[in-house]
Amino acid sequence: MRGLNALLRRELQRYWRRRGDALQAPLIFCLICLVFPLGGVPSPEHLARYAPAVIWAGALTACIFGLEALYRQEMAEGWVDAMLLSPWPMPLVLFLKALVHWLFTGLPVVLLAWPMSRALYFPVDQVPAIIYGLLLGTPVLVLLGGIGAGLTAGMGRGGLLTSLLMLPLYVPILIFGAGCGVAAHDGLPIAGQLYLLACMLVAAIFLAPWASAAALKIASESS
Amino acid sequence: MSTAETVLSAGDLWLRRGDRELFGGYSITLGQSDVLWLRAPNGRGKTTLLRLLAGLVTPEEGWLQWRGQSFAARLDEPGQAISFLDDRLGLSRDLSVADNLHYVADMNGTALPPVSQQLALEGLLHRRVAQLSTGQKKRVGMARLLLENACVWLLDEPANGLDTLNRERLCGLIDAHRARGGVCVFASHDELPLQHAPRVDTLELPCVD
Repeated sequence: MRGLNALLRRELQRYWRRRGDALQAPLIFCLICLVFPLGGVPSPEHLARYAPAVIWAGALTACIFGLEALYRQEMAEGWVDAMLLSPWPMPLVLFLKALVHWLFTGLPVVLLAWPMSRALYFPVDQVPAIIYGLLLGTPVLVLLGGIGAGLTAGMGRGGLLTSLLMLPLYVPILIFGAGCGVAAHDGLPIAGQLYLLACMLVAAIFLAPWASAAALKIASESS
Repeated sequence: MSTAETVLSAGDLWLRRGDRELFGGYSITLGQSDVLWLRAPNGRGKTTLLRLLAGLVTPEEGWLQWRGQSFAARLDEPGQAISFLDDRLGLSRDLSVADNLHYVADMNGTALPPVSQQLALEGLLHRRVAQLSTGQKKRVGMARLLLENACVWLLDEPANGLDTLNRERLCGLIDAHRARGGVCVFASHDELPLQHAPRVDTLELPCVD
């Protein structure tokens, strides 16, 4: 327990010291959501129709943007090697790391989704559909992204490669997440989409840390 | 040397790096209180050998054993089995030395105060790792090594950038580690003033370019 607390404390301290970097992801999210109406038809009906798509595209971009930094510095500092040698199970360590990463990049996006969906004229009593979707979906984005970030951690610049690798895995989350908002907008039930997102979250929690650990091991071997 | 004393052994190692072949069938046996000095010119694979022995690199051919059993048996040790230290320290540059070392101590269930006293780190504890000089970083790295409390130390150029006093400190640590029955392999171009002369390995093998 003492070790896990120490790990959690270290991660929180690291992100707090670099909170400027971490907050770039929510900033990009806001930017995308606010710029979209300027380029399209700024009528409330159109905006409300497209609000779930815009919000999810923004959340996905923000998530991809922050992912590159997940292991790159840790690799360069030798922390990955040190953790591979430590008796702590790597998947557990990486799960905690992903959790803290989500706290600093995913959670702000979820919280900001409320004002953003209102800015896009999304009906106020349907906003929770978008929030629930993001709450279930953004952790999956981070956990899956950890696999790609692990694979490219040893490379000098793997930013674009990470996003290309992860995009096919992100598509189902995007479809069901945005679909949840669209269904709510049309007055349809959203339980199905939420259940599916919850399934993906559970699967990601149990499988993604193992895949990330294997990916990091490979990246460390070739470094 | 009987097998009971053998801590870490490897044999028939073979690895390709780019278009070069390293360690054509190299074998090594490390027993308790063994101190080995890898003294070879650049590019003969000192770092790769250390990473191999740490289990961070998998050889394309060859075997590794831990205490005469499979290499995975190192995970059954009560604490950390192997420590690997190079220039990268394994510490976060954004955090203070104290935060970093408290983290390592808590992860390994060891105590920081005696170690920081031993290495005279009190003056550095509040500084961020990024602000330290090369020699100071090395000293903090040594603290990590002590806190991890592993049986096998694999050190890549541990004496680079150290002044005479700290070089002696490093040797004192290796001597004490040896006295406890620990194993130490270090790659270095300079001789270290150790109490007992270490075994020397020059990695002179059929290294095909």
